[in-house]
Amino acid sequence: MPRPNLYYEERMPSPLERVWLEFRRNAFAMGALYLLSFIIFLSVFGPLLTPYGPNQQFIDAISLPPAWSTAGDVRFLLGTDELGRDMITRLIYGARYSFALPLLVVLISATIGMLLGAVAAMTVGVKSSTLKHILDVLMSIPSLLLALVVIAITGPGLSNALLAIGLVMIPQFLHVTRNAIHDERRKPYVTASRLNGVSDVYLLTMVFFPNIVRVLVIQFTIALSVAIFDITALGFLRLGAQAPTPEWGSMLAQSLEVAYVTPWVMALPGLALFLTLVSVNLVGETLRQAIQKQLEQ
Amino acid sequence: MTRYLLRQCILLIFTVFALTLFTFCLSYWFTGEAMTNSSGLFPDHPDYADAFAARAFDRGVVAQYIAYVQHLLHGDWGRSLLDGAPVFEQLKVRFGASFEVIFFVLLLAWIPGVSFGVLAALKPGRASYILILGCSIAGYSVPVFWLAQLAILVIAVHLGLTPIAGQINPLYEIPAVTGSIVIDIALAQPDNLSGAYLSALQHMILPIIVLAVMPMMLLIRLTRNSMLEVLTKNYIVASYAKGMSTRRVVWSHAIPNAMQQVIRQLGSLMSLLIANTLIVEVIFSWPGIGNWLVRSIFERDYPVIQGGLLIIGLLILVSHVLLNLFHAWRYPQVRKDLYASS
Amino acid sequence: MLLDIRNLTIRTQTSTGLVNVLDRVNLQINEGEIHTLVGESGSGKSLIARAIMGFLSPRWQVTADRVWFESTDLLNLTPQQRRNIIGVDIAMIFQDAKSYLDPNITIGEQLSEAVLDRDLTGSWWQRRGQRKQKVITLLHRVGIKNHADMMQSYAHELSEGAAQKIMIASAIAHRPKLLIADEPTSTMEPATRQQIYRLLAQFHARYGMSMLMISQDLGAIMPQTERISMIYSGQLMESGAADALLTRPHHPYTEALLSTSLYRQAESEPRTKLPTLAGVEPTLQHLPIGCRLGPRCPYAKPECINFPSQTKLRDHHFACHHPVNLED
Repeated sequence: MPRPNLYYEERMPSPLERVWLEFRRNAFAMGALYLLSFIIFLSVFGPLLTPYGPNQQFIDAISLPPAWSTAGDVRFLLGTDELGRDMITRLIYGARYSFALPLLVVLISATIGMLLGAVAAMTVGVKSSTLKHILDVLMSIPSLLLALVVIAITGPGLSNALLAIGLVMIPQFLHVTRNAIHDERRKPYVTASRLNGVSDVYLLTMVFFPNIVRVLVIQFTIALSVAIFDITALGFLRLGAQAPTPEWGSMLAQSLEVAYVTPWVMALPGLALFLTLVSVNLVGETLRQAIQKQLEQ
Repeated sequence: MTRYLLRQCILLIFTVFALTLFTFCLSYWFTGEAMTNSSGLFPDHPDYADAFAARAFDRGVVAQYIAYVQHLLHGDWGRSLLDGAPVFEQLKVRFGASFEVIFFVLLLAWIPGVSFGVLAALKPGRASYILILGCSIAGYSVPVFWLAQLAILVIAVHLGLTPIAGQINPLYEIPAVTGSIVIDIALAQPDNLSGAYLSALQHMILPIIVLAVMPMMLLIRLTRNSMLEVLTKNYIVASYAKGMSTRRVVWSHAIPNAMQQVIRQLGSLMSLLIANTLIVEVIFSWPGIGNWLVRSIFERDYPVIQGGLLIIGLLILVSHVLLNLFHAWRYPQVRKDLYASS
Repeated sequence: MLLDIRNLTIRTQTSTGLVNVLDRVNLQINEGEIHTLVGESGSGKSLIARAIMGFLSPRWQVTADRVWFESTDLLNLTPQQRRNIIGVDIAMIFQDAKSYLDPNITIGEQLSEAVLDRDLTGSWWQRRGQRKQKVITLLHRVGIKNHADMMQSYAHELSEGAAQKIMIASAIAHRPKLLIADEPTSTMEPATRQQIYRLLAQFHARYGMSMLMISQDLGAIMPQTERISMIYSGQLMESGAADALLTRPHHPYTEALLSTSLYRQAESEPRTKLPTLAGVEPTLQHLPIGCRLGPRCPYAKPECINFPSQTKLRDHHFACHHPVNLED
């Protein structure tokens, strides 16, 4: 049936289209999106692009500066570190450890946390706001501190660090999901659906989910940025990824002794981490603004 | 307000209960014997048998937990497994050092953060928006350990303006009483007082600036956004309708109401800041809690880990509750919302 | 003539270009007159009020042949001059009064902001006392007896009617010559509405101030109103003495609105079609050319694509090529 154009209005773009329009409007956000896709591409296909292995040492090329300086070598585009390892190779491999692994961890804990949160919200009808307040306060304990404690129990190591971050993230997703459903369930449209007699599963997937997905997306970007920061911070404190692993945080920690002689060994992993975090945060911020605008309309 | 105060106190009690329960359970989760992990006494220690009875390890778990809390209240937080020093005594000094840094960082971040945020809101435009967004995203994203390394490399090593690490030049021989170097110098009264303060300032300035970047940028953005929102509110229009000047409207209506949103966010800002402080203390060898906690994780010094976690957790919980109370005291309509939801 | 507005036009940028949201509106208010401006929501009546007060943000471009208050040009004022007029000679009250009160400041403090420094004398503590005294007087004037409680309370503790009374108290603090009331009662229950109307009528009688009432419902206008102006989609349709306009409107729009009102419906036979205007109000992006009522008007003719000039019949202005009720 053709839609009668009764009200002279232009067609309203769908919510997803509007998010996309918001990105298109903002050159910085687009840049961040491209950068993020590039990092994802690197962490998937990185090993195919690099000529050397991440721990391959070149005795003849120790502490070479980047290729554009006079002492540089064009074989090593961004120079080598104090053990003669190619920086650019290590950086590309590092994207796997410092970006892809946290992403996976957050994905897994988000899935678990959201499922548990949905179940908690649908079954346990805890009316008391006191529990919510208590959880709110306990959630404000920084995830890095909790991860430190988990590592104190399990001992240092990359897999333990990942486990720690994952464990810490689950309750946050649980809490956010439960709160979001809790906030929505008194709204008239939910009451209307209940009056229609829909099942709980339908209510959760078709009624609640489209309306809380924006909260969850924002929480996801925040969690991703926190997870990347925590993993690299643990690596930096030598509690996460250990020495030869080309993880950006542990690369930074190893550069501590040589940073005064070969500053690029310190500057480059930090820059890579900084750009990754900027793009994640900028994409998250743009998403939040787009969603905010939709709520205002 | 009394009712709200009570509610917050109960909230604090419950959260502290959860926190102590967690640290108590850690004694069991760590490798080794729970008694040793909790008290720091090895089985060959002469006081071991007494402590074993005092901590109720011969009885049930509930009695053990109660004994644990009693020990905490008496200031007996166990002994370090490494040197046998009482954790609580160490903690007091370490806490002073950490608290000093956090205090100065908040001071340094708050004033420019809020004033630039207000200015940015009063001069809206594309350029200021991009500048603010760019700065705040960058300030929020820059990994604090990298920033600290860069600052050391450029300011301390290349320019030689500040020392690399530590709290004060050790030649001054300031005994650590409170941990806060500013107070300790005042207590010790060394011969060269101004020299000691100058040395302390030089040591302090770099970590504080590095730590202040993130909260300052966040505060600018928070203040700007909440000011822009408040400026569209009806009561601002009504104030203009009374014939008030823009300056008076901004001072007496816009800024106080904008601060409401900012204060609400201050708690999460505080958590981020504390996490960053842990890392920065390690880099600058600042004798604070974070430095101590990280070292004790390496050395598996379990009583210290428990104590450090407990004290940082307490700091966060108490600051949250205090912020909540301040918020409700200053902004009456918040109390009403809370009553309505309770 | 207290307020004289000629050809007030307000433009804004929309997705289809620059649009005249308000199109050549004329409005005259005499001293001591209660003037009601009636129009549907979105027709631009609040814009007129805000243009007079100078509240419009820069995205609204205001042009006019004249916007005169007594002999002051309201469109070209320095901020200092504006402060001497706004809040003193011209005051305004709003719809949904609660949201116009600062939620975090007591009512007493907010009212004392309305008291000007130049009305007080003496040292600062004497001024403080005087200020408080003036606030109490203001509260008594709007019929609030328990002034001590009221001054200590916050906006969220007030009822809708009480909040509007506070707004009125702060508006009349300087005995304004003109009070603009932007739908002050539209969200109230009928009993409260009558209270507010009575209060306003009292002040009108006591101070002889003029009032510009804005309303979206012809059936709920202030009973004491002397003149009514009808506005449709940013164009002034008709303006005239209240009784004449309500009994014998000359503009088809007023005629149509009146014929749908309750007392006319009661007269009409059952099972007859309810006389009303076809269609809906145009959106800003698709305004008709000429008379904007054109597409909906039962009497529309080709010449209606030119906006008709105002016809004056005794005291009654209307802008229509085909006026009704003219036979005699």
